[in-house]
Amino acid sequence: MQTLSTTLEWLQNVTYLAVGVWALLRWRRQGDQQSGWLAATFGSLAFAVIVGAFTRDMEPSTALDVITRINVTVLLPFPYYLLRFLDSFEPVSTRLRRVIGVGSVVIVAAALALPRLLDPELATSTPNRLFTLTIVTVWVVALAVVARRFWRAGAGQPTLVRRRLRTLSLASTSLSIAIVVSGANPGGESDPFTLAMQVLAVVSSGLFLLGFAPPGLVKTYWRQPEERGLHMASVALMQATDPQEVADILVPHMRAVIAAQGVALVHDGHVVAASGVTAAQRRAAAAGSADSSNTFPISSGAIHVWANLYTPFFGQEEEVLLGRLALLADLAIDRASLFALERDARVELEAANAELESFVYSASHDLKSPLIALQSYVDVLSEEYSASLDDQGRWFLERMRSNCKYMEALVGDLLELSRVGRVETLPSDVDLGELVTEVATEVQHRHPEVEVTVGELPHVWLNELRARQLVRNLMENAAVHGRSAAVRIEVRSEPSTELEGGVVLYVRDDGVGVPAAYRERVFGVFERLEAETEGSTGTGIGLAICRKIAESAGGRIWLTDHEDGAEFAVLFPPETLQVPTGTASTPTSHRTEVPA
Amino acid sequence: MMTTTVPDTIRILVAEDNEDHLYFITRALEGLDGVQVEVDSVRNGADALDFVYRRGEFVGRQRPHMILLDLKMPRVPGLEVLSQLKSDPELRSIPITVLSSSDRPEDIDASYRNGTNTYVVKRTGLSEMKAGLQAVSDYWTDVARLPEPPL
Repeated sequence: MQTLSTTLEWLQNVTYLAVGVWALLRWRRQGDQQSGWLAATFGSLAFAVIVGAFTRDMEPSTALDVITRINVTVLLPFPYYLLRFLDSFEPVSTRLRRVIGVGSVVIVAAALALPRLLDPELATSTPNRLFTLTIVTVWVVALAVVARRFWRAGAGQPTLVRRRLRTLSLASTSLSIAIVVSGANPGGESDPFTLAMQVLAVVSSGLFLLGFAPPGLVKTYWRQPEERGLHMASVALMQATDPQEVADILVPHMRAVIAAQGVALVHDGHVVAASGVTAAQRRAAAAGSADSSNTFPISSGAIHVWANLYTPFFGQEEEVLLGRLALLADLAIDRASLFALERDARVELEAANAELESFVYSASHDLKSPLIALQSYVDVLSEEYSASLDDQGRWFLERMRSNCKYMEALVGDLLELSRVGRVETLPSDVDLGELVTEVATEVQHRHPEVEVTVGELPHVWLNELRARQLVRNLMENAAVHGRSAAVRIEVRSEPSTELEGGVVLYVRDDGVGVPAAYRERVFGVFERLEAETEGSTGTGIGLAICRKIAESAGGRIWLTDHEDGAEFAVLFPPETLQVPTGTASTPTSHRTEVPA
Repeated sequence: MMTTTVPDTIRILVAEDNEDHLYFITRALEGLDGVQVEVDSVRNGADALDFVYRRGEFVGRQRPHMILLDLKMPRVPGLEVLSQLKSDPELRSIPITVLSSSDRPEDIDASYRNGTNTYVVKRTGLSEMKAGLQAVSDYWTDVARLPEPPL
């Protein structure tokens, strides 16, 4: 029993000494009022512990009496110091502070005034009993207030801060019970009362140490929910696609991490998200003059946090978490801004393209109407008035007719160009070999000297009309631009070297070829390399149509690097070489498109 | 029972806002082989409806045997004329041919859904126009049989 009691006392002394040293060091480091009161509280306890240890075996003497009186003077107001510590966060009522203050002065005065303070023989004397009762009352009341304060301060705090504050509440409670127990049994040495008191005091000292200076491991454990929240926030932040979304995700998380009173995110001079913030704080934040407790600059503005009263003392490490979150938010906003920019640009471009296509479509339709009239008048003129014109007049008429035909072709091709990809049609199984042979016959009908050789060609899944347009435009182009009348056209295919599973269709002529500088330009609308020749129906749109067909099928078209003649290459991606998924039947004709 | 003899003269109402087109359509219709055509013309959709309903300035006019209808017309668009006439139990028997410069699949589709009997795309050139209309006329007067216009 004696050993246990000694051990407990030793344990309690060491713990209070540790808390005392911690508090004094903190006070030295911080130098603020809060640290001062805390240093007073636990410094006085530590002082009492040290003095107690030195004076334990001293014989009663005047010196001991003086030392004891000094010790008591330092120690007795300790609950008052603790109360003042809490008072520095949220003011305690003046009356309560005064009552405890006066009570502390009274017990210190009484301790100094009592003739023989620790004489065991006088322990049961009335003044001493009264003295003990006063001490117990003042301490218990003060500690009860403190315990309640700590407990309530924990409400709504992040886990770590809440656990720390509640631990301190429990520490105060157990200390206060220990005092009651010891007050009820002054003077005893190793009876159950004393043991209970000692256990409570040890527990209390341990809890104080844990609450004020929790070890790293405990902190990590207590912080788990916040860390999880932080992790979830970072995942969500990195998925956000615009700055507003980032702000909406961030602000509640940010507020939760340190149980902030308010958080405001300023982006490009505007408060894009805020929580728990007054209108005035919002305005100040937007103006860049926020009175927030924590400000984290981000590239497009700042994040302002109004922490709660306990954060600076108990949540310093949570502020570090907050900094991490702010850093993450900065990255996320940058990323989202880029993303939003890119998306806006894409949407704009798509809208512009759609508008252009619809414009081309309606413009070409509107052009058709006067063209029909014009051509009809030309017809009437040449049919009925030809006799009253001389040769030059008739030649003018012929030129008008030829220009009408050219314009008709232009309008028709423009319409086709605007339709490719816009009018979605089902692909069908097209035998390129068969198609090329068919088109070759057509081409040879118009250009009898042209020779065509057709190699092994694959089947492709493409809209039949588009496939025909593609092949016809390429072969017609070769026949017309080959320059010599006896053009040799070679059509073949090879597996693609750039896209696995793809096939490239080559259409080659032995004409003058296309200079390297023009090899990209020929695919533009209205691009013609030479002047329109007599009888030429080339509109300069044919290759643009080819490109659109190739690209809307997921492939591409280009001119290969050849000096002798032109060689067009069309890449068919793998998906055009097999039955497309979702196509049950293999329809070969469609009602949605009318051949040009 | 109604007689189904081919009428000597068929009355065709042409609804066309473009003056030039109207001129050449009329010319082509009047020059058709094998049939005598009497052409009435209106320049907008509202007049087309008035004509067929014989109201306003068209009171007392005889209803046409068939109608050539343009789609893009002021006041009442061609599609609206089409749907009104084709939903009228009395007038829906009059065959209507949409004659438009548009070969948009959407326009063709919408015209048939609103009840047109034929859709013909205007061709450039007088002879082409004539050929197209000759084919339409041959169909209605030779191959098929026209109903009597409602009284």
